[in-house]
Amino acid sequence: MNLEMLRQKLMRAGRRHPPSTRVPLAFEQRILALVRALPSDPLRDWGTGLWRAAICSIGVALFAGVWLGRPLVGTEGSLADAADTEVIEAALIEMPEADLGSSW
Amino acid sequence: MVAAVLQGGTERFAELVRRYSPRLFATGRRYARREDEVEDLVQQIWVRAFQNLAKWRGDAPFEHWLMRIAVRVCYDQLRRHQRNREHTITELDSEETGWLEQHAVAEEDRGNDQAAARSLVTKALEQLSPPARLILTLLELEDRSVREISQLTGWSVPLVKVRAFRARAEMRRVLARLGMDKYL
Repeated sequence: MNLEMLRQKLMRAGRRHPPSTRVPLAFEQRILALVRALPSDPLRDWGTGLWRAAICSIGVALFAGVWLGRPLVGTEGSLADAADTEVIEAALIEMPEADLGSSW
Repeated sequence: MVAAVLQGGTERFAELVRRYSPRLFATGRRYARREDEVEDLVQQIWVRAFQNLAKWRGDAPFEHWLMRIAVRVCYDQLRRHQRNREHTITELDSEETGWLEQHAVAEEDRGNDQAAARSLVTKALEQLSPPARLILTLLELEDRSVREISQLTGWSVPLVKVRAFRARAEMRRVLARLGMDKYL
C-alpha cells in the first residue's frame, strides 16, 4: 500500500458521498432582491443600444439597396432602347427618298 | 424563459433560480466549508449569470452555460481565499486517525465510518493549490471527463491533463505532510 493507493481510496470515499443539494428557504426571493438592486451599467446599456441600432441600420440599407437597384436595371434597359431608336431615326433621316420608295 | 427575463421579466428569473439552485449548492459545498460561504458563492454565481444572460446563445443547454460560470466563480473564490489565508498545518482528530488505522492498509473499501473519510478528503483538498483542488474535484469527485473539464474551465485538453498529473502528486505530498504515510 502506498500513498497513491491511499489517495485513491480517500477520493473514492469522497465520491460515494456527494454534498447536499439543500437550498435555504426563500433563496430565490433573496436573489431577486439582489438583482433588482443591481445598478445598471450605462456603458453596457449604451453598447447594447448601439448594437441594436447597427443591426436596424444594416437592415434598412439592404432593403433600400434592393429597392433602388431594381429600377436602376430597368432604366439601363430603357436607355439602351432609346439609343437604338435614335440611331434608327438618324439613319432614316439620312436615307434618300428614292431608296425609301424602292424599299417600300 | 431566458428570453422573458431578457425582455424585462425579472420575475421569471426566480423560476431559473428555483430550478438550478440545488445543483449550484452542491457545487458550492465542494469548495467552501461554512454554510454562509456557500450561500455567498451561489449568490455570486446567480448575479454573474443575470448580468451575462444576454450572452447565452441557446446553442448549448442553459445548465452547461451556468455550470461554466459556477466553476469560474468557485475557482476565483479559491484563489482569493488562498491569498488571504495563513498557512496552517491541520491536525487529524481521533476519528480520522481511527479511520486511517482501520482502512489505510485494508485491501478493500468498506462503507462504514465514511464521515471520517470525507473529513480527511476535505482536509487534504484544503491544503492543495487552487488549480489542483479544482481539477481533482472535477475529475475524481464529480467524475467528469477531461474534455468536459476543458469546456468548464476554458483550459486546453493537454493543460487539463498536465494539471491533473501535478495535482495528484501534490495531493500525495499533502497526505505525507499530514502524517498519513505513517499508517501505511
